[in-house]
Amino acid sequence: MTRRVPEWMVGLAFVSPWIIGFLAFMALPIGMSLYYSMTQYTMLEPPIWVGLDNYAAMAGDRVFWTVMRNTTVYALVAIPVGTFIAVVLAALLSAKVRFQAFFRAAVFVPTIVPLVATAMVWMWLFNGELGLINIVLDACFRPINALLGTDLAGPNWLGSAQWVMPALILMSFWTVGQAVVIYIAALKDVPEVLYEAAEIDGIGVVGKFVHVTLPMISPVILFNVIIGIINTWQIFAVPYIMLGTTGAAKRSGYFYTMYLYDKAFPFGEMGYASALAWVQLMIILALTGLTFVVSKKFVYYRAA
Amino acid sequence: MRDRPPKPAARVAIYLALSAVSTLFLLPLVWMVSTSIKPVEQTMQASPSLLPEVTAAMVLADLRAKRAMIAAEGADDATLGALDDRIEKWDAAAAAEREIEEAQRSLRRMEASERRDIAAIDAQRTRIRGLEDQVDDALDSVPGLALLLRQAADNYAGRTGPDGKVIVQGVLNDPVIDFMLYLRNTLIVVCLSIVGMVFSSSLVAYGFARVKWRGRGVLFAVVLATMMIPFPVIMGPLFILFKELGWIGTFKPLWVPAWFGSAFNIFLLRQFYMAIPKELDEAARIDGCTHWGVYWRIILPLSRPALAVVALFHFLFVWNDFLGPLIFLRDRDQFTLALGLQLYQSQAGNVPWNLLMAASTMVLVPVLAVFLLAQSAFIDGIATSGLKE
Amino acid sequence: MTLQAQTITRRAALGALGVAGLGFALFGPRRAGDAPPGRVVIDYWEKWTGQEGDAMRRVIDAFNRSQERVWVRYFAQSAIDQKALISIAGDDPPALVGLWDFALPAFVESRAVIPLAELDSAYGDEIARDFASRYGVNDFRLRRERYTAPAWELMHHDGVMGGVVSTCSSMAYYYDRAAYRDAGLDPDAPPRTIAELDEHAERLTITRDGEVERAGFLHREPGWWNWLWGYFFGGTLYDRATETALASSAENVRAYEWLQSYPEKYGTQRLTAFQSGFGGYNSAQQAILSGKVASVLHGPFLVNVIDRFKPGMDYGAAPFPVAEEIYDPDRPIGLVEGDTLCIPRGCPHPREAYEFLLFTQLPENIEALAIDHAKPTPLATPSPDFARKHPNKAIAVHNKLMASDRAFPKPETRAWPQYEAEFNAEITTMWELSRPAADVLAAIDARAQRFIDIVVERRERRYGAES
Repeated sequence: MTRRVPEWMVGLAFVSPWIIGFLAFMALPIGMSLYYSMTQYTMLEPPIWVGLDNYAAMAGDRVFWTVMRNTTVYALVAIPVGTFIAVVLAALLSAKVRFQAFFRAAVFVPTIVPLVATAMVWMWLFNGELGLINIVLDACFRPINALLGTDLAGPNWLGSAQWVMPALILMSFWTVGQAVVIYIAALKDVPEVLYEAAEIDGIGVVGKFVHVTLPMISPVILFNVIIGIINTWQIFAVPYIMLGTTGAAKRSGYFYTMYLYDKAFPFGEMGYASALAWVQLMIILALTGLTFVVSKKFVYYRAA
Repeated sequence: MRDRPPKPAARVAIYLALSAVSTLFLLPLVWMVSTSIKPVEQTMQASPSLLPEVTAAMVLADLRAKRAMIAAEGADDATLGALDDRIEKWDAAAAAEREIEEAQRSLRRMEASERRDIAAIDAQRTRIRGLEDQVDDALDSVPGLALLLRQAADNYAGRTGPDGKVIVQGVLNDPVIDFMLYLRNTLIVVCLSIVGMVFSSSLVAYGFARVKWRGRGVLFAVVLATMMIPFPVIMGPLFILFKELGWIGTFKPLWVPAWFGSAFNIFLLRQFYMAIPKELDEAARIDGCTHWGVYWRIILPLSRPALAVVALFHFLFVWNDFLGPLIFLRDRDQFTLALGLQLYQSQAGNVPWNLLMAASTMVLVPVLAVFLLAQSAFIDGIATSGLKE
Repeated sequence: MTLQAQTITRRAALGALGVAGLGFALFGPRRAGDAPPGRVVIDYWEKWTGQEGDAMRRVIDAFNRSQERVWVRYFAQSAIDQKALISIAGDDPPALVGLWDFALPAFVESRAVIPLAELDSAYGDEIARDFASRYGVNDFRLRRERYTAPAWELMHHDGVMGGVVSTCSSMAYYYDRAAYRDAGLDPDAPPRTIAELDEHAERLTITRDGEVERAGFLHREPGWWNWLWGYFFGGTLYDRATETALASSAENVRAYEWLQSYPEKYGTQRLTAFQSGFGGYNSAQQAILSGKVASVLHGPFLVNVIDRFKPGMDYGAAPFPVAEEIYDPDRPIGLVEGDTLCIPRGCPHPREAYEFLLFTQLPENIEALAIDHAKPTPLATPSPDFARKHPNKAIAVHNKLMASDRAFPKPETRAWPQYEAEFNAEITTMWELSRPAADVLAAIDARAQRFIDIVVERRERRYGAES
C-alpha cells in the first residue's frame, strides 16, 4: 500500500522540516544579502542600487587579494594536514587501551575551552622570548648551532609577517578534536568481519588501515574535509582576538571573513561585505563541488 | 582492530603517543585552571607557574578580608586590634617583597652598565639578601596550602559578609554578573532545542541519504550552501524578521529554528546514513516496511553514536554561541553563559584574569562531564549499537 | 562489571545530568532586576563592562532612585556597536547607546542619532524645571561654556550635536620616574621637545650583550595610535574643508622619519625581538610596569593597570614632546578621545532618554565617571577636589590637554576606520626600514584619499552636493 506513494513525495516529506525552516528563517535573509551585495548599504541609510559595482571593485581591491591569498594558503596546508592528524588520532583513540576516556577528553578539550583562554595560551606559547615553543626550539638549536656554527633561533612568531601564518596553521591542529570525535564514531561502524577477512588474507596493520578502515570511513572524511573548507574560509575569532583588526604585521594574518566583518561593521560598507560574502559562497561551493566530484573515486558508500 | 588488545610493543607506542598528545592538548585547560586559582597580580605572567606562589601580598590580602569579615560580624575591639597588629606586620613584609623586585631590576641595570661600580653592586646584593630574609622569615610560619585553598575559594565563591556585603569578590557572589541565572538561561535554550535538533536533522538526513528522488542532489547542495553564507551579512535581515515576529527580546530566535534542523547536523547524519549497508533496509522494505518504519526501527537505533554526536555538538553550539544572544536578547537577565563570560572582558583594560578563568572553568566543567558521559555511553557503546555483520 | 552494564550505568548518569539540567532550567534562579511597576523602562546599551561598567551602573542607580517615572535598564557588552547598528538598521533601537567619538560622523550624517538640539527645543524647558526642583540645579542645559573646547568638539559633527561625552580622555607622555632617576635624569623635567625626548630615550636605553634590556622610549608600545606622530611636528592627517588626506605632508614625513630613526639606531631585529618578550597589556609583565620600557605615549587609564598590578609604581606624565619650533608650554598638543552617549533615531522614549542623558552631564555624575574611569574631565571648570579624588596623580596634565586649543581628535570623516587600518597595516613596513617613510606615507595617502572620495561621492549622491 505504501508503494503507491511516489518516492519523491516521501523524500520531500522527510526533508520538509528543513524546507519549512529554510523558507521561514533563511530564504529572506539570504535573498536580502544578495540584494545588498548589489547596493551601497551602510546599514544606517537605505541601500542605493549600484548593480555589479561591488563585485567589479573587488578586482582592484588590494586587501581583497591579500585576504584571498592568506586564506588559500592557510586552507591548502591546514585542511590536508589537519585531516591526516585527526584520522591518526581517532585511530589511536579507538585502540583498546586504559584511560581511553581520559585521552579522548583531552583531545576534545581545546574545542570547548573558551576562545579567550585559547588565545591567551597561544599568545604565551608563541611569545618570542619566553614562549614555551621557542624555549624548546632554542634548546634543540643550541647543539646544532655549536656544531655547525649556524645562528638558528626560534622565530618571533606573532610579531613577524613571515611567521604568523605558520603559527596560525600550527594552532589549527589543536582544534581537530571535533573531527576526531566524528571519526571515532565512524570507526565504530566499521564491521569487524572486514578486518577478520583482511587478516585471513595476511594483510598487516597498515594495510588494514589503508584498505579497510579508510574506505569505510571515507564518507565521514568527506564530511570533515568539506566542513574544514567551510570553516577555514570562515576563520575569524581567534586571529581577531590575537592579532587585532588588521591581522598582525602587514595584514599577514588577515583572513577573508575578518575583512568581511570589518567591511560590514567598522567600515560601514555592508553592501561590499555582502558582495564579499557571495563571492565567498561561490568559492566554497565550487571547492565543495570539486571535492564531491573528486571524492566519487575515493568515497565508498555502502548505501549506494 | 578494536576488540583485540594491541601487542605489547604497539601498546607502549600508543601510550607514549597518546600521553604526548594529551599533554599538548590539555595545556589550555591546565593554564586556565591554574590562572583561576591565582591572585590577580600573579596572573598573565610571561613564564607562568602551575600553582600560585605564596607571597606576603597574599597573606596581607587574606588578613584584610578576614578583618573586614569579623568587623562586619561585630567582633570586639581586642580581636580587631590583634588582627590589626598582624596586618601591620604583613604590610611591612609585603612592602619588602615589592622592594625586592625593584632592587633586582636596578641590580640588573647596574650590572649591565658600562661603568660597573663593583662596590655598589655588592651593596645592592646584600640589600636584596636582607630583604629576602625578612620576607622568608615571615612566610616561614604561614600554612601555605591553607592559604592557596583560600585563594582558590575566594576566586570562585568569594566572601560575603553577614549583611550581604561583598568583602572579597569571586565569581559566584558577584553583585552584577549572576552566573547561576545565566546558567539557567543557557539550559533553557538547550532543553527547548536539543530534541528538535536531533530529531529533525536525522529525519531530513534520512530523506537525503536513503530515499531516492529527483532533485535531492540540488536541494542538498542548497542545504550545504546555507552553511557557507557568513553570519555577519544575514544578521541584519534576520533581526528584522524576528522583530516582525515579535521575537526580539525572547529566547525564541535561539531555539525555534533548531526544530528545523541545521545544515551541519543534517550533513553529518547524511554521511553516517550513507555508510549503513543498503541490504539492511532493502530487506525490511521487501517485508512491507514503510520508509518511516525503516527510519524509526532500523536507522535510528543503528545511528545512536552519531545522534549522540549531534546532540553533543548542538549542546556545545548553544553553550558557546555569542552572536545570536548578543543580537536578539535585550535584557541582562536573559544573558546566556557566553554573554556572561564576555562581561569580564572590560574594554579599557583591567581584566580580572583570575575571575575570568574561574568563570570559564565553571562553564567548562558541565560540558566536560557531558562529553565524558556521552562518549562512554553512546560513542563507545558498541555493545548496544549492534552494527556488526 | 560488564561493558553492557557499564554503558547502562553511564547512560543513567547522563540521564541524571539531563534531568538535573532540566530541573535547573525549570526551577533555577529567577530574574532579579525588574523595574518597579508603573515606570517607563528605557534601554541603554553601552560598551563598558567590568570596572568602567560599574561606574556607569552607579550613575544609573542614582538616576533610578532619584525619580519615580523612568527606569534605565543597562545592557553592556564589549561588542555593542554591532548590536546597535543592527537594531538601528532594523528600526528597533534602544533608547540610548554609547558610541565612540569616531563613529559620530557616520551616525550624524545619516541621522541615525537624533540631534540633541531637537530634543532640547522639545523637552529642554520641562526637564530644566524638573532638574531645578529635583537636583537643585538651575536652568540646566547643554551649553558651550560648560565644556572645554575639545570636549565640545567631540560632541559635534558638522555643527550638529550628536551626543554628549560620558567620558573623555587625552593622551600624554608617561614615564617611569625610577628609571629617570637611575639614568641620572631629573624625573621632574620630562622632555618638552622631540630632541629632548631623543636624548632622554638614549640615556634611558640599556643594552647588554647586543640585546636591548630596556628601551628608553618605544613608539610601538602600546601600539594603539600608529597614525598620530605627525601631529607632534605640526602636521595633521586630514583637512576637513577640502576633504583631503594629508598623510604624506612634509610634517608627517618628518615624523615618520623620526620614528624610523629608532629602529635605525637600535636595530629592527633587536627591537622586535625585545618587544616580543612583553606580556599582555593587562598584566604585571606589560612593557611599562615590568620596567622594560621607560616611557611611552599613553592615556591616563594606565593607572588602572598600575593600581592593580604594581601599586605604588612611581610614574610621571607630561604633554607629549613636540618639534622644537612649535613648542609652547601653554598650548600642549595631544590626542583627545571621547565616548559619546547618543539617542538613536526611532528611540522609543526620547524625552525620558534625554532626561537621563542630561542627568549624566550633571557635574557630580560626569566627574564621578571620569574618576572611576581614571580619565580627565570634559568640564571647563572642574570641581575643586576633582584632582584630589582622582586615582591618577598626573590628571592635571590630562585636564590641561583636554582644554588645549591644540588638542586634536581623530580625523572626522566616515572614512577614518579604513584610513587608520592602512596605518596599522603599514607601520611594520616603516619599522622594518624596508621602504622610506615618504614612500609608505604617499601610498597610505593615495589609498586614504580613495576612501574619502568614495565617502564624499556617496554623501553627495544621497544628500546632494551641499548638505
